[in-house]
Amino acid sequence: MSSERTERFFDLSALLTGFDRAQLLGTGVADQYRRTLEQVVCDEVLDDLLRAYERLPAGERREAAVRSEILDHADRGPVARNLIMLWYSGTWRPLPDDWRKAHGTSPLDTDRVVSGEAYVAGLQWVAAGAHPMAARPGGFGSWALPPERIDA
Amino acid sequence: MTEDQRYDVVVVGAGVNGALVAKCLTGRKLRVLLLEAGPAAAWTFDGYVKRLDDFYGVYAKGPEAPWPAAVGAPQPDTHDVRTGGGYFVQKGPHKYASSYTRYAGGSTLHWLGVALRMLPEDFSLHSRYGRGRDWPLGYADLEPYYRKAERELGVAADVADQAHLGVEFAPGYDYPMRRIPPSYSDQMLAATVDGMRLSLGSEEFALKIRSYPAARNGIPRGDFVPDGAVDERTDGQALGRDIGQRCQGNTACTPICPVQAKYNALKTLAKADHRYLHLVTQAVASRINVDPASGAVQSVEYKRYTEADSPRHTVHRATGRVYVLAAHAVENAKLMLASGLGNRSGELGRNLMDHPCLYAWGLMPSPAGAYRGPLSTAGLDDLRGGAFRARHAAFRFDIGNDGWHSTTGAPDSTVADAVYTRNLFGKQLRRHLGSNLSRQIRFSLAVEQLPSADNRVTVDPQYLDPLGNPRPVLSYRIEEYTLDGMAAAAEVARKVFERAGITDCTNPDEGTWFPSVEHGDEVFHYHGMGHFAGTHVMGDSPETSVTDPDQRSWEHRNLYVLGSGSFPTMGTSNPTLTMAALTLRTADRLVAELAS
Amino acid sequence: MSTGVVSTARLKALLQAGVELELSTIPPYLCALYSLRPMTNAEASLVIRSVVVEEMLHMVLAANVLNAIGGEPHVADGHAPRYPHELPTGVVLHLLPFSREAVDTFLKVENPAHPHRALEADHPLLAGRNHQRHRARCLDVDEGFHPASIGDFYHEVIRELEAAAADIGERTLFCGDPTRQVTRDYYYAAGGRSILVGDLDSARAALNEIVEQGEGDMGAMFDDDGDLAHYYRFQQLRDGRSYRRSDDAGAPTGPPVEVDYDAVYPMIANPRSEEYRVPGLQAAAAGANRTWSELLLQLDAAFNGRPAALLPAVHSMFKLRDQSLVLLANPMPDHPGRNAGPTFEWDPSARAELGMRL
Repeated sequence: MSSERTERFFDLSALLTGFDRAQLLGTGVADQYRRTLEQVVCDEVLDDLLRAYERLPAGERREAAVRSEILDHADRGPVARNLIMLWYSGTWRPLPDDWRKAHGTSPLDTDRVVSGEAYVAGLQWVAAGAHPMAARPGGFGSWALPPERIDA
Repeated sequence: MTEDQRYDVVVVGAGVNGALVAKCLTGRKLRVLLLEAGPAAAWTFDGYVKRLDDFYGVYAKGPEAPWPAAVGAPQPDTHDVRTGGGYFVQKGPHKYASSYTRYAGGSTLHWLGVALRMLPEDFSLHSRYGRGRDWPLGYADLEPYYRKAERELGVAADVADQAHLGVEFAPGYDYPMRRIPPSYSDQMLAATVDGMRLSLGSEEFALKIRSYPAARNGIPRGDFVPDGAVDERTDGQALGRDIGQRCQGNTACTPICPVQAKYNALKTLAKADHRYLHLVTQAVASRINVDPASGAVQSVEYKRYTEADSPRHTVHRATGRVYVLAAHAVENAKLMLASGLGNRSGELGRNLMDHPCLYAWGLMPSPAGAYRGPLSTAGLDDLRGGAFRARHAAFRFDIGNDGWHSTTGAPDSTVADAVYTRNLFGKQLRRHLGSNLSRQIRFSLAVEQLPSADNRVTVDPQYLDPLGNPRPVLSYRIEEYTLDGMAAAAEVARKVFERAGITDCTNPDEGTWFPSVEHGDEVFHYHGMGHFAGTHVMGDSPETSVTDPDQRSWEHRNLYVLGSGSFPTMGTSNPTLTMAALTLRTADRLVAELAS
Repeated sequence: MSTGVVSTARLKALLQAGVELELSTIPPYLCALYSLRPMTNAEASLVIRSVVVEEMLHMVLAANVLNAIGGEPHVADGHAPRYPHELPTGVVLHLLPFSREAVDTFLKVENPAHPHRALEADHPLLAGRNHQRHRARCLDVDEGFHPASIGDFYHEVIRELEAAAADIGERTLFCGDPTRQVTRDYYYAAGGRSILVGDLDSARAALNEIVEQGEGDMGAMFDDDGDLAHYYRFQQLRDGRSYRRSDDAGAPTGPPVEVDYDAVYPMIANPRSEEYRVPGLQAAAAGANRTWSELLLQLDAAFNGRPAALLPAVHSMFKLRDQSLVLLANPMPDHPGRNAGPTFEWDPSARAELGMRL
């Protein structure tokens, strides 16, 4: 991915996930997610999605535009949702049949955990104010303390 | 290893019972051959970490995920319950939903670690309530061995919480470690639920959110030193033993504690006297050979495979003065049946029990800190005993700290719902998940089952595994007594949810698939707790039982059969502590017999 | 050295310096540990983790001795270490990612006789930055005192304790409140148990434990339990080879030890939060510093009458790990090839925040 494409990838990811760039980079698996996307989704669709992001208006109309131009869009929506799922859970889910009929099916478009590292780095655990099950625990007695304030 | 080597004792199975008896016997300089069907899980900590790392990459993280079976030692898998395939041959009418692990360490590799004692009344269900069977011994007989077992396993609890429902402790006794701190959600629940009154029939009960005794490392009492991870390296490079001294709250007890802060039987095996212990893994006992005249066991035939992914094996014979089966309730019975051992009572393989378990799940009224701590730290124990047991089964609730993980596959399922169904994104998505995930709570309602002649394990030559050993053939039905107990339990859960302000979200259609059973208008979706019992029942007469109260076979006097298969009834407690206590008691008898 | 009137002021100052000394070794180990990419360098991870746990024990032991003589150990505010940090042995501790240079520093900390090469000012890890060194406070305790090693430092403390006990009596010297001792309940490490200090014997045992565990008997590679001493485990990491029991020091012939210096987040040496300009990175660094400061405050409370405060301190330690990992995975655009990392800077606002919760 070119550096400009990478920038757009991060900006789009930050917008879709609600986490900032430092937090996304901080997962340590940003490269793995980019590669996963590139393996399953052809350049044409990816570039189209990123250009759609660039065209989003600023200000009040932005949120509605995210829905109409990206999430509700037949080609871009499923990819965008899978991208959110990647960041949050470290897993890939197969794209819908309609999408596959239109754009083809990659052999990597299956239910899978991208890597053990990605499982641990999933943002869902951060969103929950907790930790990935079987990793990064809070330490003895930490579970008796009130939960972390969840800042979004 | 040669065939000529003489052993004092041949033990089949290196799970908790096999490990305990091996440690006791070798501690008295008795020579023990310990045959384990499965592979060695990990004797070094870095080996264990590799399993953990593999586990992180697994998509469906069920209880068996870190412990894949060897071809030569297949094991039941909860995924097979749905498809009907797999190791068990299930004749029905209901599905037996539990699984176990054939590895050195056995199911303790992935158990939750609940180390409850049985209630005194559990031992005399028939005399008191006209149901089930009585045990041939009582709580008082077992009490000193409960204490020993609690020390061996390393149990954390406070006697102050546990001395109820008739459970009495020796004067001055307290558990080796202080109770595991209750979770924040336990505390939230206790604030509204403690003291809540409800009735079953004409009896009234007061409820209390209560810590359970856990075989999990916490703050020690007195001179007790917790055992950390097993790191059996002899090259002076072991560092793993410093790890696991305290629970860290990994929320993954099942299926794998990343630091071995939870007891597993490898810890006991590591402490056996290795000068007298010969452990052979990947060695599947296939036949018990008996002298037809005397009934004495003469040898155990076993099949040794070298590759985990191949059935190729060699056949061997092991001999000793005494033989001990500790291979699991199902495997013990299966082996005895396949060997054509004496079955005068007709009970061998029968009385197969489980704790069929329902789930209830919901949302707490405010953030509860879900997905932190051990998988659970507390439960509701008040309905484990009472006169109502004359009418329907008793039950016990486990209160999860793991959100809706077991019930719906959360947090992934919650995220998927938010993203794919509700079409949320950005900060809105993050806030939605933040407020939902932290409030998720689940109760497990484990219901007692009574022994029944029709619930059984049998063998059938048309069903063989890749090594040519028989696969267990199960017949299993959940009867009225337990179904009525399920109904009562579900109703109590609803009332507790209401009292605690929990929004009830229990909806089996939206949850993970589980087998179901009908009861009048209701359909119960249940899962197994991994609590097998009854298949080689102990008793006070060879007419009515397979072993005597010392777990010694009536008909083969140099054969002992250990484990929860010996239980006439199981009550509502997880069987591990009780079977460990029984094993330690049997070990004392064995030592007395052999060391003279 | 005794006089008619004995003041324990110097003794208390020395012990306080000891507490700070042990504390100061911890952040460099943590940076090296956290910089290891997940699921790599298992041996390095286990070894460094084990040393961190030991250094924390040393800090607890020094604090117990200080408490036993009626002193007050402190680790927060101005007592918090700053980096680069100069130890009494002349070794300068930098915050470094896991690297040959970091391993060499650890070797020197474990063994004062180890020939150590200090980091040159133009070393790539420093990325052209030149930060002021901070001296270990024990170097300021009195001008006449120049311990050649950490062992010498503690031996001096023991001498001073014995002299004071001889002068004013053991009972008078060990006047501290026993409930201020940190016990095995709250400090747990199989490598050593917390030693309750209440008299000269137990004080000597505590301080000797620090010296033996730290520098040990450099003649024996394997200790009484048959475990390889930390110094030689670091050598294994340096040489990529393990020691057999029969090997001579310096010549390991055992199986290779897996060490991958490339599987490391390339943290910039001695990171400073003021250098972080990526959006969110400043906030991430501030969060980590807040947690570090809370940890120090919790340790402070634990050492001053509330040993149970070690429980939330453990939680802070684990939280700091997560916050550090976020920083370590972030590149620094101003320094191509280098990443951010935890800065271990004291946050004065932490005290007010935490005050409510302690």
